[in-house]
Amino acid sequence: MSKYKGSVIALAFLAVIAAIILGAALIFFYFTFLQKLLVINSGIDVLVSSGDIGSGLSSLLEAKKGPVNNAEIIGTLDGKADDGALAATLGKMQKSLSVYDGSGTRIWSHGNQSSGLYTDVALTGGRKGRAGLS
Amino acid sequence: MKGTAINILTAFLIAIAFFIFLFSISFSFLPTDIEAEKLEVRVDTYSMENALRAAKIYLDTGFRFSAYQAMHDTGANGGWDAIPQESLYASGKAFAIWSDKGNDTSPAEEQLEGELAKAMARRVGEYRGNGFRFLNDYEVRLPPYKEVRAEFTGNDIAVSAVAENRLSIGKTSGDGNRTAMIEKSGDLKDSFSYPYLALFREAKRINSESGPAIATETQRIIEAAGYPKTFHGTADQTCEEAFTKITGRNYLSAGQELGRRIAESGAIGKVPLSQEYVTESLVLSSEVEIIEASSSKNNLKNELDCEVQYRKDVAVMAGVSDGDESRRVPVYDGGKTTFAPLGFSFVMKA
Repeated sequence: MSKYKGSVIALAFLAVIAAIILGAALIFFYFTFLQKLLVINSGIDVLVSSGDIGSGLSSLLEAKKGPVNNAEIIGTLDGKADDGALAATLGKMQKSLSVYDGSGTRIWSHGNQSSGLYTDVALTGGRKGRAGLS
Repeated sequence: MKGTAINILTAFLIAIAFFIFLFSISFSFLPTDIEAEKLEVRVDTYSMENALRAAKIYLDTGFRFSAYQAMHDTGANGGWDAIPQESLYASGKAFAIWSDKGNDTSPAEEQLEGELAKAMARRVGEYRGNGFRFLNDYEVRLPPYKEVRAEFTGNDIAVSAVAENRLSIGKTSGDGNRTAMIEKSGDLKDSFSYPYLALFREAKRINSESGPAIATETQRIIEAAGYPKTFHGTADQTCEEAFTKITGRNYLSAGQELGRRIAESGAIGKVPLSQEYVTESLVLSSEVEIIEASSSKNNLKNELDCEVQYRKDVAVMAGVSDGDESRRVPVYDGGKTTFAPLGFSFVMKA
C-alpha cells in the first residue's frame, strides 16, 4: 500500500486543482450567460400588472401572492399610506423604488439602489418613477 | 528508490491526463462564437420584447392615472380643463363661475367630455415624455397621441387614445451590420364605472336652484336695508356728506353693514341637500361697495343731486362630491398621492 501512497496523494492534489479549474469555468459560464437571463426574468417580474389600481394597502398585500402592479406600490408609498407595512412588503419582494421629479432628480427612494438595474414606472399626476432590483 | 520515482511519474502522468480530460469537459460547456452570438441575439430579442410589453403596461397604467387625474382636476375646475377667463373667480384658489346674477354659465355635458379629453391628452403627453427605459439599456420610443376621447354612458366611462405610430424598440449589433426592430400597437383603451356624469348633473341641479336664489336674496337684503340709490343735498356738500347726513353712515361703513347682513343671512350660504352625494357650501365673499354713479350741483338753487350704485362681490362656493369611500381614486394633489373622492366645485355669484 505504501508503494502507491505517494501516487495517490499526488493524484488527489491534482484532481482538486482540476476541479477548481472546472468550477471556475462553470462559474464563468454562469455569470456570463445564465445570470443575464435570470436578471432579465427578475426584471420582467417587477413589471407584471395585476388588474385595477386604487384598492389600497390590504389588497396590495393580498396581491403579493401573485404579480403586483408596481405603479400602485409607488403611488401608495408616495402617499405614505402605511410605510412600515409597505416597506416590509417591498423587502420581501426584493424591490427598490425611487421617485424622480420632472428634471430627473431623485426625490424619494426605498431600498438598496446599488444593483443599478431600473425600469421606468408611471406615477399619479403625469409623473414618472423608477423601479429597480435590490 | 527507483520504484518510488516511477510511481510518482506514473501518478503525475495520470493526473495530467485527468486534468486535460476535465479541462476539455469544462470547455465543452462554453459556447462557440456563433453560439454566443446566437445567445446574445436571443437575450436581446427577449429583452426587447419584454421592454415593449413593459412599456405598454407603463402606458396603460399612465392612461388610467391620466383619466383619474383629469376627472379630479376637471371636477375641481367646475368641468373645465382650464377655466375660461370670463368664468374665473379667484379667491386664493381658482373656481369656475357657474351662476352670475342668476344666469347659468356652467358647461354642458358635451363640453365636459371635451374638457376631460383635453386634460387627459396633456397628462398622457407627460407620461410619454423622454420615452420609456427598461432595465437601463433598452429604450422604447413612445408615440404621440391624437384623438384622446372620454365618453359617458350612464355610470360607465370609456376613454381611448389613438397613437400616431407604434411603440418601437431597435438595437444594432456591435459590428453595425444588423439592426433588429420590434413594434407594438400603442393605442390606449380603458373603461371603468364611476358616477361622474351623475355627480355633474347633481351639481348642475344645485346650481340651477341656488344660483338664482342667491342673487335674489342678496338684492332683497340690500333693498331691505333702506339705503337710497338717489338722494339730494345742498350745494356746499359732497355726495358722500349728503349720504352720511341721510343714513348716518358714510359709503364705506354702509357697504360694510350691507356685507355683514349678507354674510349673516343663513339663506345665502346654504345649498340644497343631495340624496346620494355630499354637498358643501361656503360664502367666499360678501362685500358691497357703494360708488357714485353721478352727481350734479345747482349753486343758484343750492341743490345737489346724487346717484350711487351698490357694487356687489357676493360669491358662494358649492361642492358636490362622492361620499362612497370604496370609489376613491389615486390622484396627485401637488404634494403627494392620495386616494380622493371625485366631485365638482363651482361658484355662484349674486
